[in-house]
Amino acid sequence: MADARVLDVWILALATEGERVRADDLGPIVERVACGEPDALGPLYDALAPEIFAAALWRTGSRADAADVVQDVFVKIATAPALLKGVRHPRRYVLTIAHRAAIDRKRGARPDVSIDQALLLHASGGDAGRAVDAARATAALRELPAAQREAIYLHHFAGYSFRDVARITRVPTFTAASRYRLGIARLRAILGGSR
Amino acid sequence: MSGPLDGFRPASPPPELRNRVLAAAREAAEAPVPGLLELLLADRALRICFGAVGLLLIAQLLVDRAPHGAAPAIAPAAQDEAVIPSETGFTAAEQIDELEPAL
Repeated sequence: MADARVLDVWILALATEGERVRADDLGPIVERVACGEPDALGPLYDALAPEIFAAALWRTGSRADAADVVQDVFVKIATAPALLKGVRHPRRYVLTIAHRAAIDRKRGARPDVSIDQALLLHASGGDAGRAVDAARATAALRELPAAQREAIYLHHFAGYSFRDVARITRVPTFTAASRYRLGIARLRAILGGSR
Repeated sequence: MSGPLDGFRPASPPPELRNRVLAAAREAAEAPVPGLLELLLADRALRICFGAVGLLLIAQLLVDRAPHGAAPAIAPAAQDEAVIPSETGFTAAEQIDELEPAL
């Protein structure tokens, strides 16, 4: 009975989450890139690199790997710009490429090389107390599985719906939502316990 | 509802990354596109497949060109005095009289 109620709550959450479909404002830039204009890569970088970098950083846990993922994505776009032709959601599509690139990079990484201790997030304000909180939150995030971290970033910070997170990470919507909720719950437990 | 991540923002890419990425992208865009054959030859598994197919073709040619030897002799049909009457539409019992001299 309790299980059924929990399931109902989840289904309701998925349904009422709202189609937080991001208005893709990249149309003109993407058109130019798709037509092979090399000058359009700069504006495309400015528009997409922060999200790609952060998503890859949260997935891989390493700033060096995240930077490489950004480069991989843009090299791929530059060599095959036609990939972007006719894509309805370029932002989501590029993040899907970044997701694959991040996984490939982690797969190819030597297991004995530990990830760096880069901060995954920063305090929005500039005060020192919040900076300490950011370090503690980063430490807590590093205890989560990479897939949960990635789901949290994509949903919480990048603002994608669970459906979009699912499309980007190539999993069912329910799995994407589960990853997010389990990750947030564990994060609360870690941060609550360490206070 | 306040979450554990409220008040934070995700890390930004380093500023120097922009030049590095754009330079790499432009370089990749200007590089000549490898042909289909080059792409295929770049893959080790495909190279092995090509080699195996080539060997099979050579083996097939060698087998086809090899002499097959003389055809085996076929024994001639045995000859006897019996004459089988042509089909008349009658049963064997009805033809017994015609067959009698041969038997």
